[in-house]
This record gives sequence, C-alpha cells and structure tokens, in this order.
Amino acid sequence: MSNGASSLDTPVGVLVCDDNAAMRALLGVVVGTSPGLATVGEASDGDEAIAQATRLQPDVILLDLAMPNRSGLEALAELRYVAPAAQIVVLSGFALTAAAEEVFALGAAAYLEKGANPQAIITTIENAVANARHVERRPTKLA
Amino acid sequence: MEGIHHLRVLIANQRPDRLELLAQVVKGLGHEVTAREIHVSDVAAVTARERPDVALVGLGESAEHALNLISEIVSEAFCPVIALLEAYDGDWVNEAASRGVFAYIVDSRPEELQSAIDITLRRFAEYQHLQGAFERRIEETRREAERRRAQQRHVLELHDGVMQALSVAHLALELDRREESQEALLTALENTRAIVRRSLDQLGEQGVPLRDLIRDSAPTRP
Repeated sequence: MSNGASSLDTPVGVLVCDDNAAMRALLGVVVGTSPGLATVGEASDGDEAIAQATRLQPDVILLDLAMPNRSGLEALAELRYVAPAAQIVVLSGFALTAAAEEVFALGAAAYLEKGANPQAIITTIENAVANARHVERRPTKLA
Repeated sequence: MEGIHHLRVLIANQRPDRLELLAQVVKGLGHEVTAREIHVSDVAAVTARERPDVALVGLGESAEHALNLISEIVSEAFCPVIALLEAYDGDWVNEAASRGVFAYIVDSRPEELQSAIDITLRRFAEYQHLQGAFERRIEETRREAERRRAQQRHVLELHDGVMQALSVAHLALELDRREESQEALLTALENTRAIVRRSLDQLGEQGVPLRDLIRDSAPTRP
C-alpha cells in the first residue's frame, strides 16, 4: 500500500466504505476506470472502516456518512488517527450544507453528494490526493 | 384533609416523652406513623428502610450539634425532613434551611403543636402532590419526545433508503449497467411506497379522513 505522499507511478489505494453493497460494487467500478486508482478494500460500517483502514493504510477513504453500528461521521476522527496519511472523501446523501462544517472540522479532505457522476468522483479523489502531496512537498519555512 | 392524600410519617425525637405525643397528633390528623425513633442519628437509615413521605425530627436545643445532625439527616435521608424545635431561633432556622430542611415547627403546647403539624403536613402534601404532577408531566413529555424522535429516525431511514437506491440507479446508469440501475430504481420505488404508507398511517391515526389525504396528496397546479 502506498501513502498520501506516494510516488506518482504507484496507484492510489482507495478504501470504499458504504453500507449498500451495490453502491460499494459500483464505486469499485468507478475507481477501476482510472488507471491511477485501485480499490484496496471495502467496509460496510464505521467499525469495519476503522479496522480496514488500520490494516490497509489506504491513500484515500471514500466514506459514506449514514452507516449502521458506527456511522461514518462517528468514525471520521478515529479514521484520521488510525490512517493519518489517508485522505478522507465523504460521499453522502446529506446535502453538503447540512454536514460540511462538521465533516471538515473532523478532518475530511473533500465532500461529494451522492448522485455525483463517475468523473466527478474520480476528479475529487485525484484532487484530494494531489492537494495532500502538494502540502507534503511544500518546503519548510526557515525561521 | 379532604382532597389531599394521607402521608406516611417518620417521627424521631431525642425526648421520649414528646415522641408519643407527636405520634398521637400525627395519627389524629389522619396520617400514618411508619416508625418512631429515639435516636435521631438513625433517621437516615430508617427512611431508607421504611420509605416514609416525610420525617418529623425533634432535635432538642437549637445548637451547633443539632445543625450537624440535620446536615447528616438531610443528606442521607430518603425523604424531606421537617425539624421540630423547642424554641424559635431565626439564625438557626436560616442555617437549617440552607442545609436542606424542608420546614420547621416549634414544639409548643399540644393544641398549638397539633395545628402547626396539621398546616405543615397539609402544605407538604400539596407540595408532594404538585411535585408528583410535575414529574408525571415531565415523564409524559420525555416519552412524547422519544416517540417523535423514533418517528423522525424511521422517516430519515426511509428517505436515506430512497436516496441510496436512486444514487445507485444513477451511478449504474452512468456506468452503462442497465440491469443494476433498474433493480435500484425498483428498490427506490418500494422505499417511496413505504414512506407514503407510513405517512398515511400516521395521518389516519390522527383522524384525517382518507378522502382528504387523497386530495392533499395530489400535486397543486401552478
């Protein structure tokens, strides 16, 4: 597995977290359409997402908010802790305005409303990774 | 005591000679004496066992010792405490009130004692009755809020089901997966039916006639 600052020739590993199996399968297909991305794992609730993120250390976590047991929102902070290099892209049925402030405060890198087309999903994932790389490569300012 | 329920009263007094008199007065007023204690320090433990509505506690002289005793009783007793004083002492009463005593009665001549106990216990019974009504209202409000929250949660779940299924349908269509899209649309349709069914049931329970519901469900013309 690579990490958020991995080299450009290594595919970006994506962990897909959604309680709907059909949605997980389709998101896997979407991720597979981009040569730079690869699905590395799936999770159907917040607890499983944390376990998988700990084990797989993905570059990106595509995270649904409304999931059973522990929701994506409840899992977000811990995901940041167990997989600190991962960029978390929230993909949710809740309108952005309702959840944006909280998910960004908890460390999400991007927010996508469900219903987004495949290209928008790919672009958002790629932008989140590119921004993370940009931040990591920025030279340290000398005092 | 018409209209006011009778109380279960614990009586404690360091003076045994007053204990019997107090018990007679309380019984004469139609209340039940659940226990009599000579040792005031045992009051808290006895209230835990007997669960009286109120404890009537005679503390002897209004001294610092009595105040300490009252603090101990009030903090450990399972019911409100009414202090019985040998003589009125404003400072002591203020201090006892700040330590949680519900009321006080000055132990005087038997006939005066009877009316003082009568009034205090009546006030206490009213207070208890009001408190009971207040607590019942709080409980009803809490249950109502819980019921509404459960309804909202269910509606949100159904809406999320529709949203999820439509998102799957849309994404599948975008990826040219017609069968998966169709299947997801059928799921969305089923979830939508469940929302409508539930709304109709709820409105029906509220007594809204079916013909009104059907009329209201039609889209309004621009």
